[in-house]
Amino acid sequence: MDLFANLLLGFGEAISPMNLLYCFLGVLLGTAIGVLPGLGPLATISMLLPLTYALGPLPALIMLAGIYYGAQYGGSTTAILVNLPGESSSVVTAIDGYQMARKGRAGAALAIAALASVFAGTVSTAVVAAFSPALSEVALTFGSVEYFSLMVLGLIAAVILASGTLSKAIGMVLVGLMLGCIGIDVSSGISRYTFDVLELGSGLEFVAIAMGLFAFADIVRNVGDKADAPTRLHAITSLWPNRQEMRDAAPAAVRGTLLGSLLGILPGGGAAISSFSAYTLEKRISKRPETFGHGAVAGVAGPEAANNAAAQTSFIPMLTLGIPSNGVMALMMGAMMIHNIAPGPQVINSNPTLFWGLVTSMWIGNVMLILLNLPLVGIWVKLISVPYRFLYPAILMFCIIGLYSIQNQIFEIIVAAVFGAVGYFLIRMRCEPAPLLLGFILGPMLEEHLRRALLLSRGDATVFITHPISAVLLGISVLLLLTVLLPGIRRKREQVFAEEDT
Amino acid sequence: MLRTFLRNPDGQSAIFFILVGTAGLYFGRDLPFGSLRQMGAGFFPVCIGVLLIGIGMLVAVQAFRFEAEAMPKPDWRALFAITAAVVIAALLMASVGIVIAIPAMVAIAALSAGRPRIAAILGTASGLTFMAWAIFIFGLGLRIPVLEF
Repeated sequence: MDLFANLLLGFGEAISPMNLLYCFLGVLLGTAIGVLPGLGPLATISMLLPLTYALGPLPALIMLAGIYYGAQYGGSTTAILVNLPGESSSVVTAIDGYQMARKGRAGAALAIAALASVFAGTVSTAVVAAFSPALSEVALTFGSVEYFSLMVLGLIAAVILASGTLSKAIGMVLVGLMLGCIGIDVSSGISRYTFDVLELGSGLEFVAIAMGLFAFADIVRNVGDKADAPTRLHAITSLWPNRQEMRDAAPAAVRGTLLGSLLGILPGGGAAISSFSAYTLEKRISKRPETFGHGAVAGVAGPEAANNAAAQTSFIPMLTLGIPSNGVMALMMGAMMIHNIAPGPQVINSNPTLFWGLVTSMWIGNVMLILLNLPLVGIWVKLISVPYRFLYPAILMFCIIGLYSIQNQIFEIIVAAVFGAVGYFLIRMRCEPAPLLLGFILGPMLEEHLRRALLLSRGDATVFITHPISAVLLGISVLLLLTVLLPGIRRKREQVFAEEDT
Repeated sequence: MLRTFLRNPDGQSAIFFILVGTAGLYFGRDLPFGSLRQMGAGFFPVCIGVLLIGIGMLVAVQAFRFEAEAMPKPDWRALFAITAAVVIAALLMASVGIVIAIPAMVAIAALSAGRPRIAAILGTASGLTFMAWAIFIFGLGLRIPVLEF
């Protein structure tokens, strides 16, 4: 069968000593930075992205994928031990994980989170391997008309699933699209919004935007409160869950994996929404729902499996369609473009070693995660207790040097500083910054496909609804928007995010 | 009325969106618009600008309709200190190198909160400078000025 031949090809690539090393380094660095309170995958990836510029495309992607799982798992560790979730996907883990820690079961909670994650990672990597080729085949028949509509759908779905007010999330996407216009227009060669600044000719650097919005803005917000606050930790006694805990965790992990794999594929889906849905599901079907919130094992295993599964399957739309479904995938896509690989359906055929190497290394990365995390948990605990006043200068230093190394110039650092300040106000205005990044990455492509579609149709804008696939995609977009605007679902959505906030 | 609008997260977002949209239209006013058949460089940005102003107005309506939540004052001290630390470190890094830039960054950033502690600043500064050298210059071989005049 083709799949096995492909997987074999991938393994051949992924287990080369150098690629294994980069996978290991990625998982290690990702975990090390991800456990630091307040640093989620987005901040961690943008911070470490410049480190991968010097590598080849495959090692760079392998390392970044490793950083992503590492950061995600690191966030769960922090959530369990100190009740400080680094990002939205580990908010749910904090609820029952921290309660387990308070009861002296911190080690068991960590082990369950790790085992559930690895199980989910294994299954969902298989999902990626099985579904991507088929989806690529379909996507290869797409023309500019379909692509435009697909991107619109992707952006709308991402906006709907983003937490916060819908209109503001749409606004943020539009701001991102506007920022994406900066630079020389590819088809006419005319400079747009460059104000005669030479460095703006090639457009804003997306890493600079990401670091500003996710790392700098976060420091400004937190430094006042956290600079002197000591971190309290719960001791880890035994790492092994007992038999009863295992029995509770196993089915929850399976359900979480299925749910997460499904939600990860959807445009706009991702780790956060999956872990929350998994928690709700576990609570609903549990025989003892009253234990949730007081250290229910299923409340750790389900969401952890779901968020890891979603983390893997959210690669599917990015790798096969070239549509990032969330902020992390937007960063991954940016990283691919830096290495001159245009993400899309052609990657799987034109660059099979890259594609299958990445897929297999996802699984290897997950196995490394458990090998690394359980024995080294003592080190991570020490990292968590580093006071913030030492931490934030280190983050600044990493970001500044990383930004400088992109082009060996300081322009990117200044851009990041500006976005840091803007980002601080955006956080205060309750505007989620991730949709901005999505808009920024997709903007130039959206414009190009729109232009090409209209050129081919000789200026006839109805092509978007006369082409069947495009019409269906746009129809789904409209439907999605309508469902959110209808009062019943709207209330439910607000309730979901309100629970997530607490 | 206006006061509550300006202190409301939605009100501020509305102003932000309308400002970005207007700036896009204003600074893009000379870009050729083209036609549907031959989109010019100005076509896309103008559409986005118009949509942004529209969304901004929608958010403004929401800001008036819903009860305003109390917004804490911005932490101007942290904002200025962190931004200044980054910008000054960037300028120093390009001109004299990281041996000066990183300690300067640590010292300026320390003004962002609490009472700066000299010993902690010196320790962090020297530790981070060494780390930067060890990881980026010695380890990764990046070409970053270390110390030059």
